[in-house]
Amino acid sequence: MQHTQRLTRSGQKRLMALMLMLPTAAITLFIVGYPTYVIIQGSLHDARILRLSYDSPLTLENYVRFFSNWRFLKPLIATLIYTTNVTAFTCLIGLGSALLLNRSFVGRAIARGLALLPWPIPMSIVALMTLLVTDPSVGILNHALTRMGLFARPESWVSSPSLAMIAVSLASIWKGYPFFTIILLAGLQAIPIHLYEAAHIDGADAWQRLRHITLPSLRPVIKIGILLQMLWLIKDFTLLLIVTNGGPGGTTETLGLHVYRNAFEFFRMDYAAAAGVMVLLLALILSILVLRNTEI
Amino acid sequence: MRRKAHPMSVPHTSRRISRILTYLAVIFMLACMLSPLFWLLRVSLDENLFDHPAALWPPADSIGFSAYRTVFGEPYVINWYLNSIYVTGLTLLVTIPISTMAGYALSRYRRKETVAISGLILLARMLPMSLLVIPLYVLFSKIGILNNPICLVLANTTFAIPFCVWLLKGFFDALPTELEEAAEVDGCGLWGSFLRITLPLALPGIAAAATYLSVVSWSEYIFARTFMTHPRTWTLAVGAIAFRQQYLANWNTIAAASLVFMVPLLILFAFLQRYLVQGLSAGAVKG
Repeated sequence: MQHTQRLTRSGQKRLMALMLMLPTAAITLFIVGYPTYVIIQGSLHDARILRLSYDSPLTLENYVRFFSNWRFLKPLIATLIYTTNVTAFTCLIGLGSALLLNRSFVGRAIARGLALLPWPIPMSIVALMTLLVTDPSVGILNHALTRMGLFARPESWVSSPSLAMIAVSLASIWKGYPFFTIILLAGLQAIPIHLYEAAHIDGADAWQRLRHITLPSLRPVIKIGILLQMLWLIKDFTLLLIVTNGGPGGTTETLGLHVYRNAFEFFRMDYAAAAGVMVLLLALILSILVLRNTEI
Repeated sequence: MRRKAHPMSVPHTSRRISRILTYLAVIFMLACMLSPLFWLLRVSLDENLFDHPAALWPPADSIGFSAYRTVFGEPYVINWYLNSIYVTGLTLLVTIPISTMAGYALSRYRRKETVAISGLILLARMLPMSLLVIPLYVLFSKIGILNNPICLVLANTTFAIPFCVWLLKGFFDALPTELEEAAEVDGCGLWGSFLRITLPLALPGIAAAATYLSVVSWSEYIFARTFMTHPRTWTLAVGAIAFRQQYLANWNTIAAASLVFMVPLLILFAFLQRYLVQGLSAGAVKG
């Protein structure tokens, strides 16, 4: 009797869980499933415009194009440089600022609010700010660097092959670090206080407390943060599109932008679709590597 | 906050030194991070920018608000504000309920089906935007909702759902189940205990998700630029770029536009940011 009752209760619970998941699942399927189907179809045909069905036979031509002449190599390298540098620096600055803003001092609430300020600024406006700050005639970065004697004269950052990547990376780091600050501040506050008390009794100094308590406790948060940040950087190309449009000479054309430009500038939708499938695979591999031992 | 420093044994002077170092570090960090915003303000107020481009602050007789008047004299600027508010508001209205529901289900009922759905949600996060733009454009034009803010709401929802669900699932994980179970036994039923007991307790988590969502949908550019073809239907994120194309080297006006276009969200964020840290620390970041 009791047994059957428990069964019906777990059945009820299951039904409720599925009903609660339904809207999310439906919207995600609708927005993700349909385009994915269209894209995989398009990548396997000779098609300037994407459609639901094609008369032409299946072909691997687009994938061959992506890999022939090492065409994929340049955007792949740009993606790796951009993604790893920006992720590393956002994570480090985020960690530093979170540790700093977690100390108790007068005016901490205001300092926190100000430190997080770049995060809610729209990416397109961050792009405009990048152009302004690196501008050869009115850019503060040029003025500061020439005054310090590091630059002989103001440079046009976005059209310089060596400086363009640095300009977009700086902007991306500036916009992105508060995300790490926020989740790491939250992570710091979730560390149980008794761990620090125990360490204090054992006579651990500040460095030892950081190494043996704080950093290990933050590990899962840092991991998730790095994954989300890397996926975001691989996927989002708003900044690059506005600031450099991949230039000069393709040095800032990441895979995401490569796909977009081929679709909308050169109107090779089929090739863009094939390249996009490869980007998706890259993101998948990355997520599996990072999440291997983590449960989401 | 919960954790207090307890440096009772640390000598007085070294405590003072560490406090001074903290202040210096905070001031240095804020100076670095806020200087681009300071420069934006300085350029926007300078009416003769090219006479003294390297000055840290324009001379008094050059300061003026003509750039701001130019920005609000442009047609459609008011429409862009209304569109941004509308899209952000509607995205919140759609996404918050459904991601709260999904987060709760994932937290309380972990089986094959729910894990499969959470895999699907994560996959949505990985899809390159450039890939989605084309098919969605085709789809939306077929249904006839191009230029309708609904397309942006749909797109924003999909992109924000993974993070919101993760955040809220973590938050629900941290809430004790005893209260819920007691309420259920007392005749509230499964749904009643969810709606009346758990939901009110989850409000800080929901506020955190709402903050994240507002930032994401206010900032979205690629979809807005592709799906909204008439200037009247643009959002502020798209309008800002149009300003740049129209005014080119007129940095004065571009800087003023950039500043006034980000203000509503900065104000909102100033109020909501502490919920973001609180909401995350209560659950999600424990893994």
